[in-house]
Amino acid sequence: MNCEAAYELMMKCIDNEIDCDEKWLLEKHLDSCPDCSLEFKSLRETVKLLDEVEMEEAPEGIEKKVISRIMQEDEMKAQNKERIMKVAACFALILGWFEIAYAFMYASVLNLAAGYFRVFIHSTDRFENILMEIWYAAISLSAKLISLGRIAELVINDFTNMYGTVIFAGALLVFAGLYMLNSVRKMVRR
Amino acid sequence: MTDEALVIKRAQEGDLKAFEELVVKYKKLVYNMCFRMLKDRYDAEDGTQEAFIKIYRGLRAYNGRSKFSTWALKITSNMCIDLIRKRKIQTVPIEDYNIKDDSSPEKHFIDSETKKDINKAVNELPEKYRTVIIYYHFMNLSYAEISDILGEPMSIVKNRIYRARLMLKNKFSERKGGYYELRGSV
Ligand SMILES: [Zn+2]
Repeated sequence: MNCEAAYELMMKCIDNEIDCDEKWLLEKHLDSCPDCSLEFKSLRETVKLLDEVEMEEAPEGIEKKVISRIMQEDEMKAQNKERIMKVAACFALILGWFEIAYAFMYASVLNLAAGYFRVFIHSTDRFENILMEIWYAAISLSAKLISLGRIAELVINDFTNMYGTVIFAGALLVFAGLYMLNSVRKMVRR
Repeated sequence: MTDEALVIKRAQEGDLKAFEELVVKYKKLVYNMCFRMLKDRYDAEDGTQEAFIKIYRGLRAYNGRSKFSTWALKITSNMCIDLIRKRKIQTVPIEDYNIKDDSSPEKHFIDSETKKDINKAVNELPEKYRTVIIYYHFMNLSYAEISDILGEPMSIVKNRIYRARLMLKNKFSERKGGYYELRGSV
């Protein structure tokens, strides 16, 4: 074995990765080569010195500092998020209101059109009266459906992730539903 | 699932108590890496906190494929490199660089003077050799772990450590007749 190969084995020996055969080879070389023998001795001493250097202890209580910094950061993030949510909810509320007003504007135009048919209800022809009543019901009902549709669209498309608007639009939805039920009931009673 | 895997899982779900356990377990390694890389105690303490916050924020990305310590040290090492680049942390003159002498009596194998000399010699090595010697001999990381942290093949890491040892050996033996004659067999 040459000195180069011996050097490889020396390092392996220092790292405790050497097997029996290799160890035997190394010993044989060291016995016959004073240079390598000296080299190995001082290498071992060097590594021994290195391994005696201890790690330092981490500063006292550093884990508490880390945790409190994380908590601080989280709190700040939550505050920022809340602030953004408030602004967004405000914006959504205003926008939502315009959207709904717009939706009801359509409804009132249709209601007006529906009312047109009711003018003729007091005609002498009974059959014609019923026909007009049906027209009126159909058109005013679609007016209300369109309003509901607009609101639903609002809720689903625009502001699904903003709970403020969802609640607002939800409440309006319920309100509109009740309003419709009421008018249907009135119509049936008549 | 091992105990540690369970703790990690809880920490991943945002349990700060569990994360604190991890900090306690690995603070020594992370702190020593910061200390060796940033070469200043205050920077190291700051860096350690910063590193653990980074580790916490990135915790979901840890998939258990490598040891947690390796993964955490990789983050720490990258953070230190960034810090050095950004803040241009000045390299403290090696003469001023003193190592705290922890005076637990049973650990007094080598006197603080020798300790200082060893640290000085290691610090005088070129950066890439210094790093591997610190990781392997001071922090007791394995070749595989070092190769993982540095992103270099294991053969390169090994060769670098071998060469660094030779450099140190030569340094020691040229100094006032070397430690070996002075101290006999350590
Ligand atoms: Zn030889």
